[in-house]
Amino acid sequence: MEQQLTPIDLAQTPFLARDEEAIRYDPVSQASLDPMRALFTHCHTTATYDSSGRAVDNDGLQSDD
Amino acid sequence: MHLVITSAEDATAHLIFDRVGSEALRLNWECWDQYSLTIASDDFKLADKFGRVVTNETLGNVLWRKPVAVVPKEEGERYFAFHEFKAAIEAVLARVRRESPQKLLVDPQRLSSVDRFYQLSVARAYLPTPEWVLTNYPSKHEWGTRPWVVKSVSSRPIPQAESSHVVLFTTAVDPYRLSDGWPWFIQELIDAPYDLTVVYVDGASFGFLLDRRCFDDLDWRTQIGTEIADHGWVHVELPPELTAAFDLIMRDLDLRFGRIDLLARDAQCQEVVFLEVNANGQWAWLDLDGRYGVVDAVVRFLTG
Repeated sequence: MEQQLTPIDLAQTPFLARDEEAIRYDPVSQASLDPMRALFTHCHTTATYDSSGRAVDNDGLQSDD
Repeated sequence: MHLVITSAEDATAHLIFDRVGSEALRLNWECWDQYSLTIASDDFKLADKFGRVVTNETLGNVLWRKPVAVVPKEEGERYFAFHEFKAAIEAVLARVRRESPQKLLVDPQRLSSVDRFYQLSVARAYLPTPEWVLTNYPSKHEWGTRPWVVKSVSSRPIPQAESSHVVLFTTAVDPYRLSDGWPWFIQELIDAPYDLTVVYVDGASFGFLLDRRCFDDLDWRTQIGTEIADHGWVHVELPPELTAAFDLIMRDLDLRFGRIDLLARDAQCQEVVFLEVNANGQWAWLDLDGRYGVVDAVVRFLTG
């Protein structure tokens, strides 16, 4: 008898998840705009923002600089 | 003053704020402790650290973006405080919903009532839709000989112990091989060479095609982060009868904004099959430099 499949047998690792750290710290990459962003985004609760509302690093640089 | 609820790292919000300037206040969830918030019986006041202020009297429209801050429980008191703040903002939105629902351009509460099954039942009055069923006893169904796929209803990833999560993308399957006891969303496999996604902004439809022959999987989202998925979408002029169908579907769903996913059997989009509406779907990657007018349309939607 053939194996009966459960969800995990059919699931895949998303391409983006293979390099999740790079995505997390590259907010203007394509990844930060993509349709699955909500799956991978973990906001920094210690972040701050500039006058346009963009995240600013601790050294005062915009995080996309 | 309009209000955009998002994250400080939301690049889509960057594009919007490049255009709206000081007409809107950007509330970044993860920076919650850098805003001034007061709610009293008859009013609320939210201010950012640069002097933008929104009150019950001055509030224009509200756009709720998808990014949500995740505050670890290990932060203890700050975890608690974040959720107090978030609940207070949600109470503000609840008041807007009661008093001026038209101001909530994308209402998270509304989205949950426009589920995929309802979308398909509405859309089939105007466009072809695939056959589908959700069942946790696939062995009890007669599947015939047509091809099928499984999809996720919730789009939640499956947690993994040692690696990151995995995702149930749209996957071809023989339903007779599916185990009973699991809820399976099973849909007719549509053989079509193109993915069509349409950004619908308050009556305007912006179509983009992706040639599915450029990758092996049925679900283009497996390719996100690759050249083809990120840059392979091509703007397409939509037939008037198709945009008219979108108007009717979105009217019936009571949605003014969404990204509509379809399959197209031809590059002119004369023959399409409706799949779903992502009622707060991402869209900016389709028009990063604004040449097709999507960002401007969203800005008009926000500020109109």
